[in-house]
Amino acid sequence: MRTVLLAALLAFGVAACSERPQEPFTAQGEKRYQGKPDTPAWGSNDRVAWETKLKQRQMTQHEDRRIYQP
Amino acid sequence: MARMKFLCDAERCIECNGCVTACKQENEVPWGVNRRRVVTINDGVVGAEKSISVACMHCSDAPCMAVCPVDCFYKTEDGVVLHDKDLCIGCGYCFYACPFGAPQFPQAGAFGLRGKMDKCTFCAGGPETDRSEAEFTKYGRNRLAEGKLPACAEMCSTKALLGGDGDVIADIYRERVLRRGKGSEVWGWGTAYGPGRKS
Repeated sequence: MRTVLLAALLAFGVAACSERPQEPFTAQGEKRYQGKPDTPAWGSNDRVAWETKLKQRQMTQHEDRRIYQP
Repeated sequence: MARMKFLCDAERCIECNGCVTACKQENEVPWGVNRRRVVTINDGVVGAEKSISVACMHCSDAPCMAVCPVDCFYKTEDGVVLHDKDLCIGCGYCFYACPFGAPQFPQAGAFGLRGKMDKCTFCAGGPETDRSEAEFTKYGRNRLAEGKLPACAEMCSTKALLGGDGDVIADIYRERVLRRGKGSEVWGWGTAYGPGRKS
């Protein structure tokens, strides 16, 4: 009984970590956009490298880290 | 996976309109169209005046996408809401649906004829070849493809406007608020230039 209760609690708790898709869909459940396909911002390059570079750039907005370097 | 967002710190925005100018200059936005603008409340009331810079907020569940009759909107893998101007019919539904007034319509003729919708692209261009002439003409510069952030956020002199991955800029803002506290600590020399170093 206790195990079942714990499992139910765990399932309930983990459910909060899930994320439902938020893009608008049609009633038929299909994506609506029918225009030209767009290439991703990283193009044919490495996505991880692009994200890392962009993240470094984002951190330059953090003046506490940018100006007050120890 | 990054989810691109803007965040404007109302305690820092000084209504300089640098973000508006940067956007117009970077993307060569036509006359009469403002992809970004600064909104001020309690204008002139000492201590109560607040300004924030507003543009497309690249909503997760974007109302413009939901109402568009020709389905010209799409969302990139980074969460940027873009649209295809070749499909847009300039009906203005997105303008009514958007809570931020982000969609803009250029005056295409002398009699109030509406052109195709134009809005903030998070400096991510549109559905044309990246960094091509066609992309620049229709949507403006694709800074994301160059590994840069939107011009408005990068040009902000007080760093009131933050742009980038929602998680990262939320962390920056959180740390900033914790450091500065509230009340009189929000302004002043120490906040602007740091506590100084003892030599």
